[in-house]
Amino acid sequence: MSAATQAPPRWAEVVLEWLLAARDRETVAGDLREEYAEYLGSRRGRLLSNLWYLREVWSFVPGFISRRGSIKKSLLFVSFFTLAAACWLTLMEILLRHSGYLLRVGVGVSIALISLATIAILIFKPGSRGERWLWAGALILIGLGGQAFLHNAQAAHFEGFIFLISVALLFQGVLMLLHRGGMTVICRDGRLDCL
Amino acid sequence: MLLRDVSAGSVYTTLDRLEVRGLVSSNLAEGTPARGGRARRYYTVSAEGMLALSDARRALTTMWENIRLPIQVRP
Repeated sequence: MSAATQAPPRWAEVVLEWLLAARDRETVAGDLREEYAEYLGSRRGRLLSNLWYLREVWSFVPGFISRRGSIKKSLLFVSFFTLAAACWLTLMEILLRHSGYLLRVGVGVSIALISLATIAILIFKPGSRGERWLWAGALILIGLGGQAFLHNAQAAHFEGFIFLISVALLFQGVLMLLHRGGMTVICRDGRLDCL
Repeated sequence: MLLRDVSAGSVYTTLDRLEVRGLVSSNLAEGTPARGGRARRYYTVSAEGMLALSDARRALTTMWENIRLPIQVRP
């Protein structure tokens, strides 16, 4: 088999590289590619090898979250997701016009605006006065996410998309609070610093 | 022998911490086709790291020497 056919899925490698610090991006991804080829060569099959690789990729998530600056990165990522999801839901509500749709359109627009404001502050105005108000948006998102989560859990028909969005909203709210709070952590170089 | 499956994330996090504390040092080497051309990082235990390793082993040995086997559970 050639080196290319013994490589893990490209998307999994992209995720791994995204999770790794710049310093380790090349070396660790290379080590895991070699290990993947060995794992595949031991006749475990492509599926098991891919699952093994994904488990290894997953093991870098805690380090990614605790690393300095990663909260900002995660917050940006989840904000983009909730922005897209809120726009989609709002559009569907406007098109379908079920009873009480105006309220849900209002909720969708609120989520989209908060996510958009969060993205704009993080990208264009970090450290600005607007950043101090992230906590207010966070509380709204936690409230909406929590309500959606509970409502979906008690509903007769479980909706996967609503579950995903509610978890994303809760996660975004927590990240916004952490970002706003300036959590003190031990950095990679041993210093105490703020996220 | 107790075999423990350790994830890559744990290994590299530990190596990073050891390097920050000066117990190991690392250097880069060229990649190979099997690695997709990616560089390889070699780690070397420093003199300070060897001392720490000796201390850790001594502490572990002392601990085991003071334990009478087989270990019995008191009723």
